Amino acid sequence: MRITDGFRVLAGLTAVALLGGSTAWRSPAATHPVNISFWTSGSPNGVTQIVNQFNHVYRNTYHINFRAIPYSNETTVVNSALTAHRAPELMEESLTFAAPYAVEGLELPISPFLKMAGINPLADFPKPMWNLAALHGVHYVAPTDGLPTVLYWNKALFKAAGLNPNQPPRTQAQFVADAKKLSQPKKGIWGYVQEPAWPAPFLFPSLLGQFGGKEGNASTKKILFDSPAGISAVQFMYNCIYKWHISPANASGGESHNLFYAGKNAMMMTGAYDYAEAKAKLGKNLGFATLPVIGKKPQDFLGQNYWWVFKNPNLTPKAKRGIAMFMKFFYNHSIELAKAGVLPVWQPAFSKAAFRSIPGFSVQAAALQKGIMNPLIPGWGTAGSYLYNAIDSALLNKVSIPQALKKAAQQMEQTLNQPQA
Amino acid sequence: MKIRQWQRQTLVAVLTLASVMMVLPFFWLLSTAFKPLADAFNGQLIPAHPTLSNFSAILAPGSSAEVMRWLGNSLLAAISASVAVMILDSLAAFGLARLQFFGRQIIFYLLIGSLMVPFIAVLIPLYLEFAKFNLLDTYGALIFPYTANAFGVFLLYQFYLSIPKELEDAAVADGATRFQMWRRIFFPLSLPATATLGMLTFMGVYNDFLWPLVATSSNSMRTMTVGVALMAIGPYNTNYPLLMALTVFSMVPTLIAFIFAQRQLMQGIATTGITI
Repeated sequence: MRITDGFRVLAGLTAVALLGGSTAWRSPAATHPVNISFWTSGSPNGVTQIVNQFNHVYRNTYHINFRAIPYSNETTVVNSALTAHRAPELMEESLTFAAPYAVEGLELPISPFLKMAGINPLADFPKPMWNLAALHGVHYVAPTDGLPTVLYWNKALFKAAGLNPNQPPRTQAQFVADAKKLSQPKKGIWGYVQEPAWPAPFLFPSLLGQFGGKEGNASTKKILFDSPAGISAVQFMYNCIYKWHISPANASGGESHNLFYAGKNAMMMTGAYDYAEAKAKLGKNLGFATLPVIGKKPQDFLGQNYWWVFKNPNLTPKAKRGIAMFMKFFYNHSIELAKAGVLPVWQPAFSKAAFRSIPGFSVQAAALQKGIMNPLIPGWGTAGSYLYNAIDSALLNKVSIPQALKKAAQQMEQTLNQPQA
Repeated sequence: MKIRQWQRQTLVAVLTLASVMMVLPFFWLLSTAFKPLADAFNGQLIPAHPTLSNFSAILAPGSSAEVMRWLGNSLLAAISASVAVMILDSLAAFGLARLQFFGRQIIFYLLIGSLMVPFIAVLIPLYLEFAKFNLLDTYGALIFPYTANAFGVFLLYQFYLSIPKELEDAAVADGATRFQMWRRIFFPLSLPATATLGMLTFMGVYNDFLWPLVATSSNSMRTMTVGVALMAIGPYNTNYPLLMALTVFSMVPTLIAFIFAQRQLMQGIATTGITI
């Protein structure tokens, strides 16, 4: 009977599938080397190569089990693992995610590991990246890579506007003057495109810092961006659209990038993460520099990744030594990161020719020294949406800048000071 | 009722518009898969500089083995889960619809009630359960959570209720056991509905992202959806042409499965009244 035959085939398929699957249920694990699990939600580019090299060199002693997790789902994955006591020994994520785990007592202080590895954080890491990463005076994390905010410009458009293509603006006055010369709204060409939404929130902390302000106080959880400096920062963005008319109004998401790649936007201030794409599109016409000083002093907001060690009662002294050794190995081999387009934060590498010859490296390395980051307050990542919405509303001319920032500050402060935050 | 000419034309126009709206995203997907990164958002539906570089990247010596492994894992999980669902759900539905036993209604309502619980609510308990049995990062983790689902039981339960009792009586008169009754009468009669369930399960498992992401940790155990996310979506930016090429690549098995099961699927939809 056909049905019976079909049923047998289905049953057979199930059996084969499950049997096939069973081979992985008892996957052979290396017994001699100490296994150290290491997860990252950052770019695995470069990291994979370093892990492979480490595993090869220390094949009889240690083995790093490396796992990359998508950035957008990191909390779900890590929290599930923590619940089941399956968290990795070593975790790399952006700094904001480290704070809640540290507050909950799930992380070990990082300094003993650095000491074991012979790393002097004050000398070996860019100062801002180390100094700004302490929680209640304790360092639980160490930086692994950095991602500054930078200025991109189109040299061909500069030349066409009679500007020196190799001389980007360095001050607010120069920026506005250049952008005015570059803007030809009738031809659809703009000196600069200020989007109300992303990447405005990435640019805002840089401008705020440049005007002398701070986003918040990590110790008191007090929000500080609704200050005169914060207002000046958003005012600059606002003026680009409505006062100087160097940017279109109501720019849609991605418009700044799209117009820049299409040769219709002369300047972009955004994360260095767009370098590869911009270079591919503009080639020799791409200019790449540290941010101009729009405010009073150079400051640069950094995207970044840090790593930390999760508390684990089964972490043996040998495993701890392995973690320290891997950290040192990672930093010493950070050329792999640089080759993959990720900016390492290993100060001793910055002066080496091999690093400096990598396109865009010197600019980013310089920007790191003026780096600022979000305050290390648990919950900042999620509560930050109030600030993003405030900037969006202000730049869409829906609400005044002081009002928008004040309201966002109140909402964020309330959220961050709730008991669970 | 006679449809007038202008009504017909309006209907055709509306349907054409709706079809274009449905098909346009697929065209965009296909078009972007053949574009270089720099042209991803240039707004052109026909690529100005068509390239196979995104597909080359997928099939390059370094990544092709990985991609094929992810594809294999997805297929294995989807096929195994579909087969298991068709058998287990069918048996459960048969029992609930045609057998009389204590607590039958309560079990049925509990099953239906479980449909109201979103998956995210059971994610952590499920993870803990699999961790306890040491099944994380195995094929077991990729298959077992899908092997029985309340929706399938409900679907087949409704179908089994509609089968005349006379058939059951005749089988009893012929001395058939309950299992034989299911195997020789109910299962064959419900084949279109069961095949539809199998197909829906296949697509659901093949396209699932969250559970495979959480439950697997080694690269060799990743499924296609998780692999695609890791390969093309970065922390700050996304390589859309590569993402689209990977999506096109990953769509092929589902498309083939759909083509082969199309007749059964349509028949099943007609008999059960479900929609995809």
